[in-house]
Amino acid sequence: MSNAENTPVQQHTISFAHKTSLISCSVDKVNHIIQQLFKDLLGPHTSEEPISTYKVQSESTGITVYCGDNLFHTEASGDLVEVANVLMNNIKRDLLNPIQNHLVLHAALVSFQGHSILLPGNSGNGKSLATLGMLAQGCEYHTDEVVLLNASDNNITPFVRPLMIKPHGLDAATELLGAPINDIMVYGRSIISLPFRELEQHFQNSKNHDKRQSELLNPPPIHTIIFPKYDAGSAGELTPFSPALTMIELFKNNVVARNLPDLGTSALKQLAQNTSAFELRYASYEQLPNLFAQIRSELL
Amino acid sequence: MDINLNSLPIKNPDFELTELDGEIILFSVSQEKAVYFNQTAQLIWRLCEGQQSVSELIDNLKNQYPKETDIESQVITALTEMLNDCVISLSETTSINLINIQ
Repeated sequence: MSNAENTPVQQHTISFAHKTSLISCSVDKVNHIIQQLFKDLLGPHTSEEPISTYKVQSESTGITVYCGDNLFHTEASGDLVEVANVLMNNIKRDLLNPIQNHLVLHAALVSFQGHSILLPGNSGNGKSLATLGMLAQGCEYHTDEVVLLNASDNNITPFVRPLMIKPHGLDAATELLGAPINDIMVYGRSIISLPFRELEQHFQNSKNHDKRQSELLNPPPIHTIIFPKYDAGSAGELTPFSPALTMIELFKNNVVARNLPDLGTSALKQLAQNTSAFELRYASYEQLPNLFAQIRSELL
Repeated sequence: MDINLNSLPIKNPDFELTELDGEIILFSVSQEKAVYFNQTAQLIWRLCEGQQSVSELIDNLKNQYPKETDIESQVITALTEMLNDCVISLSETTSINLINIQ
């Protein structure tokens, strides 16, 4: 049963790739987490019809989330981060499905000295830890989840959100980034959110705020693709990938392929042929600094 | 899966070939599927024209590559994977000469 009280409804318009989704929330603490989680996706209220509408409120059964008129999640435990994460996952799906003329890659994106590094991978591949390792080495963060690549002009658009890690990755994250992250993390039952702005301040590599904000949403061109692969027996290896292997791995991570008539194969082929690609196989976060040094030598 | 040595392997026309630096990938838009071929698979797949049986294909490759050992098992393994990926089909002729693949 929820002990959260209903407060005046706040509306949040979530915008991405010219589509919007609307959240009406009457639970004050959830509003606060929505503001944190969707900070870089909050758009102005528009008259345009949203692609989906969500309502969050406190009921006797717990915190409930409705999509339109349909109840689709009840959080009986009162875990507010879980509620916000459910919203994030559903709204992401809503906003990505109608996208046209883009590759929609399940991938993290970081940049380093004017070069973007794409890290495609499904959940459980070690993408989040590899991304954290790169941030620890001075990379700038763009997303840990989805990257749009315009099939016509190659412009890239990151789905900017806080870095999300699973609870079992917490010890490694703390080792990589240092104890101060304990103060900035937002804990949920199945997910922990790390606000990247505070991470970048921690590593003292933040630039002028406006410039950094602009670069956050408009990353430099993709220079290198890294396919992270957690492998318990690995000694830590960075192995070049051929264009064909790169293309097939990108194909697996192109999550809304049907929005392009050829499933994006021509755009994937172009990306695979024009970009250096490596598999990063690692067993421990302790291997990541050395592996990143190798990546840096490829970039510079 | 059993491969009948007398059956005729033939390419699935749903798949289109894309070549990148000498390596090939087959794509099927209708099946939303992509399959990567190594050099051996590529060589075998190109021979799947529905004209020669599996045993003829093996014999031809043995003649072409006399120093290569284990051609039969390489062909059977590759064809089994191709069948699993639906990039070829087998036109059955008789039910004799079955080879069992675990």
